[in-house]
Amino acid sequence: MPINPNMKTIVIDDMMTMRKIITKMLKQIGFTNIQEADDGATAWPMIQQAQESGEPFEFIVSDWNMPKMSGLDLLIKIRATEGIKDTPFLMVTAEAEQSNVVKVVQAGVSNFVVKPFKPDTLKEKIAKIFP
Amino acid sequence: MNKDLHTIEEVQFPHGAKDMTEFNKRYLDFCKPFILAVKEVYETMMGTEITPGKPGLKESKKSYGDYSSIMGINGTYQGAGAKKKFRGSLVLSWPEEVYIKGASAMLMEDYTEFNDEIADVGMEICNITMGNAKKVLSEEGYLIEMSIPTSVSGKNHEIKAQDGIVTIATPMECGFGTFYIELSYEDYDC
Repeated sequence: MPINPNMKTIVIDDMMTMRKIITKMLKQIGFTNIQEADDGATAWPMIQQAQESGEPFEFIVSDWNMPKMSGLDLLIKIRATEGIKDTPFLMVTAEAEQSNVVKVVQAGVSNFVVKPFKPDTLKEKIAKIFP
Repeated sequence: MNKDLHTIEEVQFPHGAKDMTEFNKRYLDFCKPFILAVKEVYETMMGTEITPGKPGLKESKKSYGDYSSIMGINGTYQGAGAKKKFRGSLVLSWPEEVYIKGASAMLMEDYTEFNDEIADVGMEICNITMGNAKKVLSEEGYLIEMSIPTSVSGKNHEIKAQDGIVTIATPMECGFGTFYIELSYEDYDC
């Protein structure tokens, strides 16, 4: 599935800084339809509402370490919900221990990128999700 | 050993504690991954090299910068025949100009003053530094429980480490000026 510039995308991170960086990088890659959320707990109702409206998010980019609902918990919820369980999910994390990688892979992540990263790295990770 | 870190070996710890040789070694082992991690953050996301200066013991509560980001550190260490708990903190502290220039580079914008848009840049740098150091330290037997960063700002703000904990401060010279990384560390038997 190649990248569609109008793909409905949500960027989730509790830090405004990282949301701005990722959104800017996605725009450089060509994404045009991007929304933002400041926690997994904020994003989850947005994702449900989008599904109910018939215009679900087609790509989720989420931080792992967030105060109310972690990226891992959000991923598990999404993978357990009919209708959205196959949504491509890119995890952004500062924690790259092997045990963490295993956790997100087992939870069904599409790919993950470790902070700090350059725009080219993000682009490569996305290209592997949408070859 | 990384040539940039040779000076950290020069830190002289306070005398009088038991078994200081082993403690010093654990402390220095603990500090190095944080220095390397913050270098990596600056080089990857801001395009500037960092040269760590000479570290020293910090004995004042007064911060080195106008903006500081802080993360508490808790965890357990198992290695070299020892099992210990440890606690401490990571502090990054920037003078205003260094902070604003770094935020501009990281966000690919041109900021001239501190505002809400760049208020959490320091916390994000702190968070990434902790995450990267945590990975390296986990391979050396230090298991850190990840926490959420906080920040303090204002001229001459104070940060008090927990009682009895030694703090090492290292100046970090980069293309935007000099900021400081402070690491507090104490361990004790389980």
